[in-house]
Amino acid sequence: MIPRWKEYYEFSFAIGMVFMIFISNGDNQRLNSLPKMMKTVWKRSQTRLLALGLCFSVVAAPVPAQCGVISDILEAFGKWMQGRSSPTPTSPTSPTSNDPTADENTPGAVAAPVNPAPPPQPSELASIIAGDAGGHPDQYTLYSDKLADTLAGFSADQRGRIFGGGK
Amino acid sequence: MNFPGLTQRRIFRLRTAFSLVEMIVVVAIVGILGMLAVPTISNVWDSSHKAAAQRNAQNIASISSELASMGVAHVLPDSLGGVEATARLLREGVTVNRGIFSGQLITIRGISDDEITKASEYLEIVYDLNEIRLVYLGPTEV
Repeated sequence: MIPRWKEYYEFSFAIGMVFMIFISNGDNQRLNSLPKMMKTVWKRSQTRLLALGLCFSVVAAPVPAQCGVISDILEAFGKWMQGRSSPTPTSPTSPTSNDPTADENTPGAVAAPVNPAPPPQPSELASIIAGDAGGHPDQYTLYSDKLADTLAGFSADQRGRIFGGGK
Repeated sequence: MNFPGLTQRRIFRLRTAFSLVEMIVVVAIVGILGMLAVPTISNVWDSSHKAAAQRNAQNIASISSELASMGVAHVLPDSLGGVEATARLLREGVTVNRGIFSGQLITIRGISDDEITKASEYLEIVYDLNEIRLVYLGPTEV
């Protein structure tokens, strides 16, 4: 399958060729007046272009990761508009702040609530690893002890970030 | 040449205005340039993202390997989050509690969840006979 950007290349190449024929057949006045034309277009629509640029730059928005084709850009723009119009979703089940993006070192940041879940026990870890590996839990006893030791070094908050994901 | 009903100033303005064809040409140029630029930028963007993900994956694997050589178990099995959870664990930082490096904090700084997710495409959990490891798959097409 041909990637979509290649199709765009071919299409733009064809248009470019037609354009080259057009300017080569005509008098040079067209070509010579291009800078002047563009300058005048800029002068006439300067305010509108600047206003448009200002609209886009006033609110900081994440740049879309993929801008392969025009539809992607439009889709990203739609999402951006949607993101601007809707407030940040909050979980109704967590009345306290549980925002994983909150930085502990930031002054004024609300401390995350203590996660009551204790770190997994070595025997539990050995069973989980054996289940994933398709072996016997006894094989991973030593490793599970060490892993439980490592996990015990983390606070409940840190464990929440590790297993829950998100920071 | 005389144009009845038009002043000299009006005639001059008419002569200096752009025709429809000229405007179409300008719009076409802008369009062509835009169409040429979008896929090029996209391609460069894509490559740089891929390279960054591979670099992050290499860093994660390298730190994991370093910790493993110090005898610190830190790789989480797939049921507990696998590669991504292990990377998040390394981001939190692991303090070595035995050996000559005892007390040393090993951590990866400045890596976001999104970067971890992308880097995890180049990493894999390997289950050995007695332990599990995190390995870098290399710059393969994923």
